[in-house]
Amino acid sequence: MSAQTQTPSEELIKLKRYLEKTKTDFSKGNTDLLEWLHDRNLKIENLGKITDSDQTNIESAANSVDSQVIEKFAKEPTEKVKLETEISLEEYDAIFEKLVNLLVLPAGQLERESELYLEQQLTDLLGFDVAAKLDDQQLNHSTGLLGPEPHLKRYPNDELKNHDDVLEAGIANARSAFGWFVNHGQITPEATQFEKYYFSLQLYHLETWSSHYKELKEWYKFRKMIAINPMEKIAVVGVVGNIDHESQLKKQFGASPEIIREGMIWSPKSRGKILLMFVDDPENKVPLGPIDFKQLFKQN
Amino acid sequence: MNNNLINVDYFKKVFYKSLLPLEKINEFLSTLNAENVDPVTEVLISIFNVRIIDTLLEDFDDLEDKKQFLRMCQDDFQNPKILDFLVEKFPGSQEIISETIERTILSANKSLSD
Repeated sequence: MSAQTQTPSEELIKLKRYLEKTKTDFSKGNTDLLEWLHDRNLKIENLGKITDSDQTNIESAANSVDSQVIEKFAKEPTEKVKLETEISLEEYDAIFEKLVNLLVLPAGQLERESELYLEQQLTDLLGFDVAAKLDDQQLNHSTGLLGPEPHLKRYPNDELKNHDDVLEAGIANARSAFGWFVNHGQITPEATQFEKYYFSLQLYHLETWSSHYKELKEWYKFRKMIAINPMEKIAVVGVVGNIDHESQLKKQFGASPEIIREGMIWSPKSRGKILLMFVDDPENKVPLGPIDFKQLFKQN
Repeated sequence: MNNNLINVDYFKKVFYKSLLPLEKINEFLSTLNAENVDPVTEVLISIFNVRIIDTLLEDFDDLEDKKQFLRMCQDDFQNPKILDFLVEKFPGSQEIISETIERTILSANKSLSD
């Protein structure tokens, strides 16, 4: 297909996909610099951009993944979630030290003492309830590796180009184990968010799966969870959007391309290690998306 | 030759602006839908930046030199002293940049036709 026969969005999408590839190549070839670049907040692709007064540039910047993440960090925790943080700097540091130490250990469930401590402290810090065990449900692992998954088809004729970001992650051939992400045939904003921030869990490995799979599948479908990346001090709230068939030996959880990227899950410091907990949110008040603990703590 | 589609505002803030093959860039832009020219130009510059810096970094043996180059880029990306610094370190830097830009245009073209 010649370039001129393509629609404007197709051209841009393809070129942005090419940009993403160049960025990936850059990261692979300069692993010795990634942490340093990150610390300096230096994004090569943004160098030399024209001034903010240029409207085109402003619009483009507002659409970038980085800007969207920043916007989410800035707005969602303060506007949508009522925070009740009363944690001292010492406690804040102790929580993350504890988390980092836990993630050095092999993947698994938390000891009861650690579980209670982290549930309490993270609930205080985040301003909403998190738990390793909810309604008598508990995963085989609370800590482990979070692997990247492709986009999911939200409806039968959904295509990769219809998804907003991280198109290089591809799209799964099969639909989610929970079915399509549509509500009465309509793709709602909420359903779009579900696909954007989904976790894939190895529910088939649950001890009671074979005897109670119907109830379990219903309970886990779009259940809100939070992945905590203590190395980068970022968390991402998402929903259970798929069931993973893979062995639990290699990785314990999977997640959407957006969760992987916005949660900086595979940064040089993180290497995929996370804590995954349930979000107890019966009134559906906790928004999906990333949470920056550094900003969260600063705001309080 | 097609009408000039290049909005120079997009290109004036890069240290390698003297090396840009404007005709080739214009040729590339002329294959696109007219309403796409500005956003595509912006993405194209981002791609140039990443490819050029990636290629140049390969030439540095010393990590501190790499960091110095990147610091200069972050401080003032349009400063011609960056090019002077590169040429002093590697006399063939200008050729490397020119070749990288031309290869990038070809790859960008290919990515659009895939």
